[in-house]
Amino acid sequence: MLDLVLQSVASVLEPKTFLAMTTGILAGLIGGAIPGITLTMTVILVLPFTFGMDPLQGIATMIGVYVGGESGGLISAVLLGIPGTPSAIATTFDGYPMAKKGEPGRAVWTGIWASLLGGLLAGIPLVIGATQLAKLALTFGPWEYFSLFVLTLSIVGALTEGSIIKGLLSGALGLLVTTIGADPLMSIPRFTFGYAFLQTGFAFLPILIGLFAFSQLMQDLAKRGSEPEIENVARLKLSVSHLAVLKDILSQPFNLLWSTLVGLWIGILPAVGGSAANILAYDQAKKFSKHPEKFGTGVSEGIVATEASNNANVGGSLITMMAFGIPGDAVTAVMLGALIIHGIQPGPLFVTTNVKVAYGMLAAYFVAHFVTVAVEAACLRYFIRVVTVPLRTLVPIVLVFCVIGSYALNNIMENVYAFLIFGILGYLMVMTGFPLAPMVLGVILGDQIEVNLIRALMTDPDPWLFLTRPISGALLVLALLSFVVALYQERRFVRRRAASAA
Amino acid sequence: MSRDGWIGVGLLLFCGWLYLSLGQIPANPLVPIGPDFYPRVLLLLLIGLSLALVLEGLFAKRLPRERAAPGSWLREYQAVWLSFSLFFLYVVLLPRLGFLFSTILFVAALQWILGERTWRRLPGSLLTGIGTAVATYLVFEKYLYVLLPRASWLP
Repeated sequence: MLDLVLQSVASVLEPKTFLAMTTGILAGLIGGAIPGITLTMTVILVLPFTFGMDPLQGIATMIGVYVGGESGGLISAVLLGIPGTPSAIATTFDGYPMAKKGEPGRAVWTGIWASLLGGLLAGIPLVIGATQLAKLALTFGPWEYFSLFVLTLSIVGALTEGSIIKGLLSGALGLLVTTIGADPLMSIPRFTFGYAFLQTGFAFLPILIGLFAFSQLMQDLAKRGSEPEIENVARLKLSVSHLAVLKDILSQPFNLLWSTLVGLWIGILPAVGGSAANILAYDQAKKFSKHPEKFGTGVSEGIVATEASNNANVGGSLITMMAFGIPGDAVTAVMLGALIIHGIQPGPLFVTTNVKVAYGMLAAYFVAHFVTVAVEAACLRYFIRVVTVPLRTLVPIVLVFCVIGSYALNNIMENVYAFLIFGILGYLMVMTGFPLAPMVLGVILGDQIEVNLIRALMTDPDPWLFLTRPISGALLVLALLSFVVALYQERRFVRRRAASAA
Repeated sequence: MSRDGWIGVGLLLFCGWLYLSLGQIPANPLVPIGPDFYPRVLLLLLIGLSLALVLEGLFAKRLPRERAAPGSWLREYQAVWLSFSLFFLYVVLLPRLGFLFSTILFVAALQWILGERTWRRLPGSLLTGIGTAVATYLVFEKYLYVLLPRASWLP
């Protein structure tokens, strides 16, 4: 296994792949650093650039964006007090006060080195976990797959903030979208209403661009009036003793390891994402600290915990994606789409049938972490200038990229119309409190759920097999448990709110 | 009834209509589970969840809301609806004017509208539009060989 990873490192270091990945890292760092441009949006914007690349080159670029973006979010979090990405929210808690106290260089570099270490540590379980779990997944029949997908959807639907009913409705609507067009087994058209374009159903990418990018841009525009004033950070002194920073990080091994584990675990859970990972890791670091009262005043433990966890989250998300074809978060959801565009079907067979791309992905993950640090060392000062680009310039350019991404998929305008429809739908959903993540997951898993359900029932019409087969039954019980726990928590929250209002 | 309740009613009607339209899907006597089986299960689930949303909306305590002044929504969301209208126009014009021309117009117009709307800023917005359109055209068409929309009136 190790020799395959090393061989793949050599492939990733080939000039054309390395250059593409470095460009991806640069884009990720910039996108991650700009408040309002989420990491998911950056991945979506870079995706069309990979259409003409070979699969390894394309995937290495996307990994570059992912790793770079997770690290880039800390730049604006630390220097401006505005998280560039949701996964850097908790970095502001101690990073910004440290920068304010006259140590901006130490604050930024503590984050950068912690990101590197957290990411590399999570790389070990990624290599082992992705390959071993894929082997386990190969033993699954359609019953187990169906139950696994149901568990994934129920976790995401139930874990979303706000109403559980809305979360589940959002997921079910996503599944319904995948029933438009020819059915996956007999190719009989459904819900096409005479439109030729609907015969093949909606492509995944325009839906994703619409739901995530368009609705996010419109939300940013709606909040434009409350945009914080951006300070003049161009003159900040960012030079620092790297040895001292590394010594400081390594003097807190438990914090580093525990935060990495928290990030990794949250990453493995389907569609939870880096924003939960960094806040949870910060909370854990504070609880385990000998001086919790100092958290929030600019202590390095806070920065180490959040940055190690959000980069470890990348590793965890990739494990779930590579082994089961289930996205660990919104970014890996787009990456799943990227794999499909490049002709690769994600799932347990991915690692064994696409050895070059799968191990190339693992190699790119490691290489990207080192390149990110190098790029940050060279360009940090310039990123700060980019962060201050006004929304009025960003929004039209990003919308143009969204159009290109949708159109270039099949060179048809209908995909642009689909992007617009789902963009409006996404914005309306956000405005009315419906979470988007379950819907996206529904769109991704819809076909797989249907195929496995029908396959299971055609193999044996006894529906009780979903419960009596041990793994399938256990997964369904877990799905029910996640729903019951979420329902209990929602009721408790409502009761507390009512009590505090009284 | 709360807003969520009305959304539930809308979803109920929509899913009910889709459920009725399932009857038009041709059945295949060779397969025991037809192509309408899965959408039928899904729609029943959606109908159940929509009903739950309606019930939640019916029994939810309504919090007193301040009455907004007429037209305040338009002012509050001005940037959103202006951007959306321009973007809609861009998508409509794209196949007619082609990528280059429509993108220059769209980027310049939206950038100008979202900033201070003074004549002095117009050349700058136009330059951003030309820069964006030409740069993306060159990268996608010439370097990545990705075809962008052509003007319908061009050969």
